[in-house]
Order: sequence, then C-alpha cells, then structure tokens
Amino acid sequence: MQIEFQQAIEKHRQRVVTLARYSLRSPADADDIAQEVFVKLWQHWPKIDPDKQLSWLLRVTHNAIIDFVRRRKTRNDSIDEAVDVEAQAAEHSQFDALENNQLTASLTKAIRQLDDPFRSILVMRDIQGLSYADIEESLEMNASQVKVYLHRARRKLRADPQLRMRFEEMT
Amino acid sequence: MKESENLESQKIKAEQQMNKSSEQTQCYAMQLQIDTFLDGELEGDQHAAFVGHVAECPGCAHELRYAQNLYESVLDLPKIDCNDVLIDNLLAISAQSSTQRVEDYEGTPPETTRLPLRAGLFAQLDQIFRERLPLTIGFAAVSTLVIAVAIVMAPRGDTLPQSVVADASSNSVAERSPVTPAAFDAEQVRMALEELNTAIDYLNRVSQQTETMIGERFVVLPLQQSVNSSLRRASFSGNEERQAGPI
Repeated sequence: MQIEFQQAIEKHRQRVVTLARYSLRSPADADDIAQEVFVKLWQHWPKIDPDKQLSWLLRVTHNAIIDFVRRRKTRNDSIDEAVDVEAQAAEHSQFDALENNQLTASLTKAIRQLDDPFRSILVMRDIQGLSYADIEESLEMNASQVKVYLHRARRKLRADPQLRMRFEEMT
Repeated sequence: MKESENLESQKIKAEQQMNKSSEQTQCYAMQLQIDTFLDGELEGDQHAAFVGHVAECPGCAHELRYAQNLYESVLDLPKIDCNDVLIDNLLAISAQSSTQRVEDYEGTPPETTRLPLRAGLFAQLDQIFRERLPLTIGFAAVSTLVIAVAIVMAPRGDTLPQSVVADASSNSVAERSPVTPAAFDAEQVRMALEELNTAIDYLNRVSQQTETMIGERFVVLPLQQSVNSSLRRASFSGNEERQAGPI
C-alpha cells in the first residue's frame, strides 16, 4: 500500500502543488496545503477509488485553499504580510525565479486575486491543461457551469487594469 | 426650407447614434465570443460572423489580440512542483502509520504485529488480555461502576432502629403497598413518651431563657408612641404633596 501511495504522490504532486501555489501568496503555505492534502489521501486511502484519485485530490486541495483563505482573513493582516515576506525571502525556488519576471508576476498576482471557483478552474484548465471532465468531477459541476466560470475568469483577467497596462507596454 | 434641413440633419444624427449603439451591441456580443473562439469551439455561421466582424472592427481586433496574448501567456505559465523534503515527510508519515492503518482498514493486524503464543492456561489468558487491552480496561471500568452503584443503592435498614424504619417506610411507601402495623409493646411506648416529655421540657426552658435575654438587651417602644410617630409621618407627607401642586 505504501508503494502505491508513493506512486500516487509522484503522479499527482505537480497538480496539487500548482493549484496551491497559484492560489496562495506564500509558497510555504502552499506546500503546507499540499502536505495536508496528501496526508488526507493517506488517511482515506482504502476508501478512494484509484481511478478518481486526481479529482479527489483536486477537490480536497480546492477546499483546503478556501478554508485557509477564510482562516487567514480572520488573522491580523500585518502579521500575515510579514510571514509571507519572510517565507518568500527564505525560499529560493523555481517559483521565486518566476516572480522576478514582471509579466509573470503581474499575471500570477491577477490570478491569485480571482475569487473561487474562477481561480481554480482557470488554473486547472489553462495552466494545468486538465480536461473538462476532470474539472467537473473535481468541483462537482456540470460542463456548462465549468465553461461559464472559465470564460468569466478570463474576462476578469482581461479587465485587470495593471495586466492590460503591461500588455499595452509590450505591444 | 430650413425646417426640412433641420429635420434631415436630426434624422441623420439619430441614424448615426442608432448605428453606433448597434455597433457597440454587436461588439459586445462579439467580445463575449472571444473565449469560445480561442478554445476553437466557434463553428459555422458564428465563426464566419465573428471573423468577419473582427476584420472590419479595429476595436474588436485589438481586444482579440490582447485576449490571445493573455491567453497564451497563461498557457505558458509553468506547472509548479514541490521540493523533495515534503515528499520525504509524507513518506515518513505513511511509513510510521503503516501498521496502524492496516489494522484500521483491513480489520486484522498483520502477522508480524502479533505476539507468539505461549504455553500454559494463565500465560494464554495473559496474552489474550494483552492483545485486547482496551477491551479489558473497558470491561474492568464497567464492572467497577456496576459494583459502586450497587453499594450506593443497597438498603441500609440494618443500621437504623426498627421503629424508625417502620415510620419512614410507612410515609414513603404507603401509597404503593399495604402497610403492616409495627408491633410495639407497652414498655417501648412508655419509654418513647418519657423521652418526648423530656425534650419538650428542654425546649420550654430554652425559649424562656431566650425571652429574658431579648427583654434585657432591647428596649421596645410603647404602642402609643409608635402610633403617634406614624401619624406625624402621614401628615408631613400629605403637606408636601399639597405644596407641590399639580404639574
């Protein structure tokens, strides 16, 4: 069972971490969410259909992110900011290198500012390239709902003034 | 002539405004289809109408270019992977709880966790209790509780005199069961009456002493003085009300 669990982690880790990282400012928080999700996978292992592991993981990740954001709103913002800055300064990861690119930084910031489920659907579909079926199953929505949310998410991104300014500067 | 020219110019302006608003509506409708177009899901007439409009409308063409650039930039955003420390932590957690999980979900513990069977009746009993420790503790706790309740609820008739038990039971159980009168002989009745008289005498003496002490320590106002003071208070408060008058 442990070997199968290890294989599942290897198979799905990128999906879980990508969704968490594009949803939260602090990479450390995102990693905590990812760890929490995989611990839950281990705890519920016998009950989860292996064919539906990915959708289960994405659903749990999505819910964990929503819970985390809700909890964070109740905390002191200044403390939260300090923690974020500290965490980002401490960690020299692939993601931090990306933040240095101004366009990517603006884009990532705009994506993080989207509400759920717009953000999750955009990340799942456009960044991770998941099928509509996987997204439907993960978020328990039908196909038309997913498409409507996706198109609205893209329109919200296009309406972001800072993002538009960056693209205008480029062209 | 002037009036007809004015009318014509107004008509032209109105037409221009209508055209402008219809163009805006058309542009809005076309821009709503941008994402469907980018997903390659526009087909047939809709696709042709969209492409035709974008070719003629510079605003929509600009918006489409922006949407396409943004869409491609989002597609190019990298997928992020976690560091190996997190994976190591997870594997350590799963390895630690591996044995426990097998018991929880499969019902039977693996053979490696079982103790080898020992010879002898007491040794086997000891092993059974060890293997089922939570069950044993629970059973012992329940047994202790039952014994404690039994001790507390047990009747204590043997510690009290027979007459008291008879009286108490006659008050509380009278409605539920027929009472058999307690048998007392004449000597017992006489002794009880003597004890009762002694108690009454004692209470009388105590009350007399109490009255004497109160009389010495407190001065009681005579009745007439008390009545006079009450009348003074009543007349004084009545005057106050008259002086105040109606509001």
